Amino acid sequence: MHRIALMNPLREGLFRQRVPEPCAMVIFGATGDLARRKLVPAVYSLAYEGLLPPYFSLVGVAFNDLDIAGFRDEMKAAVKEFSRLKPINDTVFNSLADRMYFIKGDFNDPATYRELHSRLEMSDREHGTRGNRLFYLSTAPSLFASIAGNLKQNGLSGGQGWQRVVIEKPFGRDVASARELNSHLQRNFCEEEIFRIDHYLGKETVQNILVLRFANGIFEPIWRNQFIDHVQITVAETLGVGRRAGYYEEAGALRDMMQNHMMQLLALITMEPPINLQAEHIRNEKVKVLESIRPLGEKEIRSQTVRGQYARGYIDGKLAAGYREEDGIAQQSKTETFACVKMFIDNWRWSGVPFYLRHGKRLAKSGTEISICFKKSPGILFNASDSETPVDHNVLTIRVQPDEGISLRMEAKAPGQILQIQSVKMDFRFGSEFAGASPEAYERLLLDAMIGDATLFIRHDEAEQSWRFFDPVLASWRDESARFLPTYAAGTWGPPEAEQLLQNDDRDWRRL
Amino acid sequence: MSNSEVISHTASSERTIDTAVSHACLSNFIVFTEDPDDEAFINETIPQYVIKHPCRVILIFARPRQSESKLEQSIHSHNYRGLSGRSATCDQITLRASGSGVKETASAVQSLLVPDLPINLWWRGMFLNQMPLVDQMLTFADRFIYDGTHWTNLHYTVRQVSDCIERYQSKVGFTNFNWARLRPWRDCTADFFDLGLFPEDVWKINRVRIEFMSLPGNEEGFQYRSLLYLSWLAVQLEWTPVRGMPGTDRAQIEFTNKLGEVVDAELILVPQSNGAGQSLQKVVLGIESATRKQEFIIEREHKGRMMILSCCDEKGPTELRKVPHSDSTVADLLYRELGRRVRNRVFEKTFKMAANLLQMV
Repeated sequence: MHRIALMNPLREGLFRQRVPEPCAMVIFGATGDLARRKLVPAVYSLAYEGLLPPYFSLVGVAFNDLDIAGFRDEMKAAVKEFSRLKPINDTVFNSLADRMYFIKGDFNDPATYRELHSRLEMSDREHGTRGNRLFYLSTAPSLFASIAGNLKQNGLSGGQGWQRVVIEKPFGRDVASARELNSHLQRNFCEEEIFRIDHYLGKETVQNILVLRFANGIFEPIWRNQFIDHVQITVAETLGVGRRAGYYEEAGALRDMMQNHMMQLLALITMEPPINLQAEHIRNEKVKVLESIRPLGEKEIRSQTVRGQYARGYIDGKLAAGYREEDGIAQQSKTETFACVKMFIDNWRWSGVPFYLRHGKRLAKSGTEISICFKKSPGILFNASDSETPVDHNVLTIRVQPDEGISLRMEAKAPGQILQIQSVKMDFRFGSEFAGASPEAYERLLLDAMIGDATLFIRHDEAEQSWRFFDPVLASWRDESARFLPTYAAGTWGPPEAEQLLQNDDRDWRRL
Repeated sequence: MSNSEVISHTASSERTIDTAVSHACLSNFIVFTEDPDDEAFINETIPQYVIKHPCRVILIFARPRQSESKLEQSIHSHNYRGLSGRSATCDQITLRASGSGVKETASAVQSLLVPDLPINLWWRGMFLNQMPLVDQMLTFADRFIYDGTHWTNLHYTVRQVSDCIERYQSKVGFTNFNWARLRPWRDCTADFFDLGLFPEDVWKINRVRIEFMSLPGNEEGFQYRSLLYLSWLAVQLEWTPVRGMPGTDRAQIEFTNKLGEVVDAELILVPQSNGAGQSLQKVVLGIESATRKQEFIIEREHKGRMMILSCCDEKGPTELRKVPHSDSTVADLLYRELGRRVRNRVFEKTFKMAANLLQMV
């Protein structure tokens, strides 16, 4: 980013400092849900904001029976339906559509790649894309390795210009498969060219974690075990599996959410300050802290993890079906829809501080938040065991969604003749204080990938390290699956065992 | 109403508001005007601005020529629904000052400020008329916003403003809307010279042609905006002005670049195309040598509200892209400019260069 800014003296002082080089973007699975809902609308937003390079083209690859005109029409319909910028600007879209192409083909067939090769060479000539390629694999993960291999074998990587490949989670389903995937990818692209996307990292509030921690002098000195009692990270959803039954049966709550998004939140909250904001330094610090997480043995897995599956219940006054009643779910399914884990980070900063991670579907309320619960003040003045004025923890809460913001709970004297202490909340809400529209996570991430800024993407060792922690848990749950899987009624906060996990430590889950 | 009453009113209004409404405030925003005809415009603009940037607004409606000396205060709240759908509110305090009461407004304002938050001062109209009051306000303001579009007698005015900026720039950030409105033009100009396009050519530019339109009677102001654009190029590309040929319809300035080569620039007033065209219409940056001719063109297309970027060489023109462009509202400009916390050094250098170039045209 700085390199580009410095090379162009006219960029000094302008808001738009980050400008990608000319490039062609190739979307494998271009007619799929992700491409239609997120990727192409994000590309349109970038074009509308003038953030795409002037020399750009987009090539969709899919198995559908479409020609270029049909593809352009489909993409226009998708942008109309899903873009945050409405109504769409026809001039901008048409100018983008003129540079959109479609290749019908099988992702395993070399002929598809030969056709793609000639299409991209044509793009270089017609649209000045200069050999720079961004390959977005919006496909089933089982195709990642084969597509990467085919790209290499057909001369689509390692050529003139830069070539980058973006892949979506899941990055494997355990350490072994993550390693295998990484090694397949790395045989065809070098690590700097592989962008593993986690759309959570594109959210403004998540990016704000680093600003909160390192741009505010008051937090960093107390961001450690002397002052922090424990940390809770909750990702709660009221939704069920919806149309993702096939995927979810294979994945479950832990693989779907905890191993990736929640571990990224944990890493950002707990990492040491990087020496600067360059991608490698931030990712080094994240890996270090992930490596410091204490592994769980069989005994700890029993005492520090809880899983569950939702049964029929009421959400917002409406009856919600149980998991096993959902379309596409096996009657005897043992897939967890709720997971919570207590973990420790064995480093100087976090020694002895428990981290409680909780995620579930069909819970009472939707919301993602990180709560830093500080130690209580010494029980001398207000907090003695016989005191009539007990005081509570101070809690700093970072709300990731919805209603993004930060709040601090603290104690205050209620007005009156007697001493009565009550908890009050200082609240900052992005939606009230900053009213400008935020870009969608995918806009930010696509732009970063075009620029080559990997800060908000996951490096291979982050993914592997995270699996290393969860592999024994998954193995144990798999063995245990024949025996017992707690259930919880939809619209509650998970199985009673989850409450018990914290009560054993004399703590409670925060109510969202 | 006294200041203390105003403050207690503010506090009590927060308390009685429904708990679902949050009070939002990111800065203090002081607006000063002495033009009675300006009130309607300000009253229309402020709500648009506070929705984007919640702040405590302190409006000063000054009537210095009235004989009666008065300073009255009133308060009301702006309620709006933020992006999250939640209701939020922020305060507006209005001071009406007349006669010698106008001189007291700086001290009245100070006790109404929300502590610890940035203080932005937007001066409507020509501030040189009220320099003693401006001097008082600039002792506590962090940002000073003004609009040079409608200035007259530019040779004198720009020099005075330049002196003022020089005096305060170490602690106050200055923003001129005449400059802020050039942002889309600067963005588009920079687009040509990013990595992967024509990064080397930026240093080879030796022809600049800027075409602008003016509303009748305001030719001087719009020529000045074009001059600001040219000054920006000159500062960023390290051109030294050599000589100028004045003229309202067509002015020419000769520079030398850092290699000592000549750069010719011209500012051309073009006839109105739609009766309301104003500001820059077309910029052509050219490279002309014995071996090469290349032009980088930015053009404003009114019908589609687009900025069109194109290149032209011996082979002919190539359109690079179209970017939507509509004239920014004042609320948009305020939001964008006040979002910047650091001093705008590019503007400061440009303004100084423009003051020099003005002497040539």
